Amino acid sequence: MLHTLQHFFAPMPGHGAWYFEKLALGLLFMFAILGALQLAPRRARKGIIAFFTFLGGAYYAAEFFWPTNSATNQNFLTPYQDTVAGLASVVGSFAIGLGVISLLQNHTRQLARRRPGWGYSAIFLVFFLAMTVFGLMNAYSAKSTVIPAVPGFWARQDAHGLFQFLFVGGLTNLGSATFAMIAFYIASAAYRAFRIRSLEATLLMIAALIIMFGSVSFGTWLTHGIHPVLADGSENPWANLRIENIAQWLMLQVNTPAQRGILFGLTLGLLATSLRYWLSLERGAYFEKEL
Amino acid sequence: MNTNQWNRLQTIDRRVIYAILLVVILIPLFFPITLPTFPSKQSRNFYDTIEKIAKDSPDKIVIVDGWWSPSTRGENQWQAQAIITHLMMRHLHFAILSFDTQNNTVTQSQIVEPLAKKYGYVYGKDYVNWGFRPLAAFVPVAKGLVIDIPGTIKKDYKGTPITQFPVMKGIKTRSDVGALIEITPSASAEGWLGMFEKNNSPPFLFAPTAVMAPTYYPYLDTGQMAGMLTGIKGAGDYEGLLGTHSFGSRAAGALSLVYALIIALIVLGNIGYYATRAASRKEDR
Repeated sequence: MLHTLQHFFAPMPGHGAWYFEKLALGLLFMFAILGALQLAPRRARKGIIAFFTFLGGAYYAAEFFWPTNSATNQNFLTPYQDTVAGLASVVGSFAIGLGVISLLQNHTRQLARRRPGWGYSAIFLVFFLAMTVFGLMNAYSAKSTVIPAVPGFWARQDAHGLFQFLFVGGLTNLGSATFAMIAFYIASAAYRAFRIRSLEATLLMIAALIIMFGSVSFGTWLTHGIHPVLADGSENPWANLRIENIAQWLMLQVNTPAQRGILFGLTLGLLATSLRYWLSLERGAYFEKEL
Repeated sequence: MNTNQWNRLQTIDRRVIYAILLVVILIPLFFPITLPTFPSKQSRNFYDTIEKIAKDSPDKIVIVDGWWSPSTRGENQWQAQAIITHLMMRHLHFAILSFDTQNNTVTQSQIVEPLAKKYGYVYGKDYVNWGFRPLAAFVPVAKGLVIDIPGTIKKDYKGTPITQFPVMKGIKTRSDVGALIEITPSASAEGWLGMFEKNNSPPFLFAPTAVMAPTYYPYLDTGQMAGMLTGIKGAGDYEGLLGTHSFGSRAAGALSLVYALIIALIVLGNIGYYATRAASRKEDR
């Protein structure tokens, strides 16, 4: 059974007719499972989901803790890692489908009802369609002409060129621009929020200023006159007062213990939450309440 | 000055701040500021680790794992560029691996290919692209790299079996890896450290965005991380160490001015705050 599954999820050499047959078969199978789950009584549905959740988690836990053969560094479960990871990717990819359907529904409704901001919805739908079409064309027919050449105006544009225009020229630059805008908010927020109103705020601000100065050339240049080595070749103790050394001391001696404490707490919390998910003990939205 | 006049110091319009910030960022990018660079200890350790691999084990492969997308390329792209430049300068073999959908295309086409032309690197002979793996497959991939690299990666980003490439000759397990480098905007180092933290593991080198760096100092302190490049400052440090003054160095100059501006604004805001309070008390009397 597992070997059949492994073969089914094995990468295809090319996207021939059999690939699309597999794809259709896979989709049909998944929709049949989803349909059956939908028709099942609520209690049974929860039980089935809890069972498969436990099974998935149990594989990884058992594979990790089961002793390995010292020669191969593997145990009897290790060869199935690819299959289990493939199954996890398939289940995860359904979330993408759900997201796409939800986005399309929401923006089509916005556009149809001319709600405020409908223009953004129109832009989204146009570019969603363009990226899907040219992305698929780029994968399967990259050289096909999309815009024929018009002498004196523009050269021939193929699917690969248009995909690159949308991906590199559009998506990557928009992503960078959106992230870069954070700098403006940080500058404005730092100016408004950093007020020395208490002892804690004062300590925080002094530490922040030292770290900021210690992190940039301008700051380190301020104390670069303190030479790390004395004329006789010995270490200069005053070099500890160079701004980058004070910043480093703060990061290693003050920040690190605090981060270590946070990490311990986080890891314990993560372990507890993982156990709750694995054993289907989690309650609340997405678990016992229907949204 | 009266209360209202002092108060203006702490209520500067945000659009004015944005405009000044824009000018402060743009000027050093077009007219680079030449301030002396003092590489941090962790940047120097990063550099020294690569130098050591080039000297002691040049036949090993270096894994360059990217989790970043163009959103954080302002920091991560220049870190990646500096690191890959160093690998090519020392003629070390390397493999690109991505856990972000956009990362593999960006790393291959915008960083590696232009640098490969400059340093005469040949695909398959000097470097290889292991492609993109979904995040759901991180644990099996990371575990697989420890024990069986060709069996885990199988094919490159174009679907060619990796065993066909000369660069993969003799590369079987983590003992054949010179270093594992992770360039990331997210909290992802623990996963690798969990898998690669053994006696015969290669050094782990980390290049996060500046905002993520403080979280990882405990691993620097324990020596689990051999070096760290912090954001664009780290990229600038590295370019300084390599002697290739590219965008990272120019951006480090811009960053200097931006930090100076933020510090000046904070000081101004506090002067405004205290002066307003003092003037208000005086007026009440």
